[in-house]
Amino acid sequence: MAKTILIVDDSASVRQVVGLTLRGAGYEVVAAEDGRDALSKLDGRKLHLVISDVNMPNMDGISFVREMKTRPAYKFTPVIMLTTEGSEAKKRDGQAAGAKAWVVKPFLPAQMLDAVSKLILP
Amino acid sequence: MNLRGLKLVALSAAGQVWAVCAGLGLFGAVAVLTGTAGSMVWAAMLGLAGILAGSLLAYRLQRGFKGGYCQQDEPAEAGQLGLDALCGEVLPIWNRQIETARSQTETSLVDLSMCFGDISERLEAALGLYRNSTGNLSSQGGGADVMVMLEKGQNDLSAMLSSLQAGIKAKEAMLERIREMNSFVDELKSMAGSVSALASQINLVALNAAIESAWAGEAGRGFAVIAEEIRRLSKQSGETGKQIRLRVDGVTQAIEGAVQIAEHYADQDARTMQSSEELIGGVLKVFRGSVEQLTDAATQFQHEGQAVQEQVSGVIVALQFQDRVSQIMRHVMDDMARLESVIGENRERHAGGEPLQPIDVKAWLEQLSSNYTTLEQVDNHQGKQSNTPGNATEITFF
Repeated sequence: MAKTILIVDDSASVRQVVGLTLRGAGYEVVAAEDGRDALSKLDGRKLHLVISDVNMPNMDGISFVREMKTRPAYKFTPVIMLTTEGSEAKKRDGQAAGAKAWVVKPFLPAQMLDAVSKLILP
Repeated sequence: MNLRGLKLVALSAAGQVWAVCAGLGLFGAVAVLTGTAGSMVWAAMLGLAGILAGSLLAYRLQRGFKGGYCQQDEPAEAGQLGLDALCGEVLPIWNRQIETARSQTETSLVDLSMCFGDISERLEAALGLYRNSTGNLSSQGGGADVMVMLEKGQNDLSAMLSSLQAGIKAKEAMLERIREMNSFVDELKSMAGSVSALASQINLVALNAAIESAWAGEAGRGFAVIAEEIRRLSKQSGETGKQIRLRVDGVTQAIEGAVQIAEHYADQDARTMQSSEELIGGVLKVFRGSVEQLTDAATQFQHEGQAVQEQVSGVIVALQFQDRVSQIMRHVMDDMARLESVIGENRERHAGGEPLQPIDVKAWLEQLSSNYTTLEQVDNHQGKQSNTPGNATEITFF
């Protein structure tokens, strides 16, 4: 059975290209437009990995990850931050929130898939 | 109103917009290179329009400030010249125009990425189908298997030819044995002749015995009967000898006929064998050539397919520029909205006869720079024109 990955990004084109990369590798993809929308997707379904943008309207990626980690069902779900932000301060924020990796856009599909395969839950 | 502040803020905004519009120009170029019909034309036009609009905007703002407005440091004069009113009207329009461009770019990019996704999936399906239908002929895949299969077929056919040759040799041996039978037949002929000769001599002896028994009179009567019986038997023996001879002649003819037919078929078998070997060799040669060609084609096809997939991956990387463009545009739009708000407040103050609130340029710029998310924005803010996004970076694992 295919593993499921949640993509959180306010950019439809980024959701599209990330989805394209992941589906091409055999993953199932659930998409959310921002942190608030992503929280509504945490409805008990099994998520093997989350890929989230940082700067988004309504709820940013760091706040979303922080909130997600408070929910027992998703406490151990690995998170990759995918963002244009490259500052060390932001990375530290992401790490403190519980992210496992930080990818600065634009990403290379092969690199992203490599990171996904390393972090995704069995 | 503090016009120097307004000038700096507006110039900074113009620089960001110009960078975005140059980015749109780049998008146009990417779309032209990747060649997606409708999106390509649209994107190329949008890119050109973006570059023109951005350049004009920057030029107008710089020319305006240098030519007159920036020389006026008194808010009242600026108000009289209508700059604040102009900004109040034009900023929302610029904001909407940028939003329209941003929105249309995003919509087209989603369509474009879907097209490339479809191309990628179809390519993968075609490669899979080709691999299955050709039994994976590529040199990396099952090409060696096909060659092994070909070698096995050749060995099987060679074994079959060897079996046929063994069969032909067995026939030749049988033919030799039949030829040997001919010599036995000659002996039989000779023996049949001997039987006839013996019968004739016995008949002669029996005739002499009958004559002698006649001379013996009554005493030789019994012997005459015996002599007559011997003559009858010798006659029968002679007939039997003739019959044997006839039969042997028939057998001889049959054997010779069989030998002729066997020799005929042996020649035919030899010729068939030779032509079969040549035919099988030719078919295998053609088959081997075809397999080699197919293998080369499959390898080439896979290389081309991989190259196209790499190109599609490159396009996926390139398409991510939209997110950067969108963020830069939104940032500029937010700052324009902030400027519009300040101008509106000052206009209300001016209309109400209240003193105008001066703009703290340093604070404004600090707030502007605090929300940058890309290196290009930082470069632009520092006065270095940056039109190219960063390269794809390494991943940081925590």
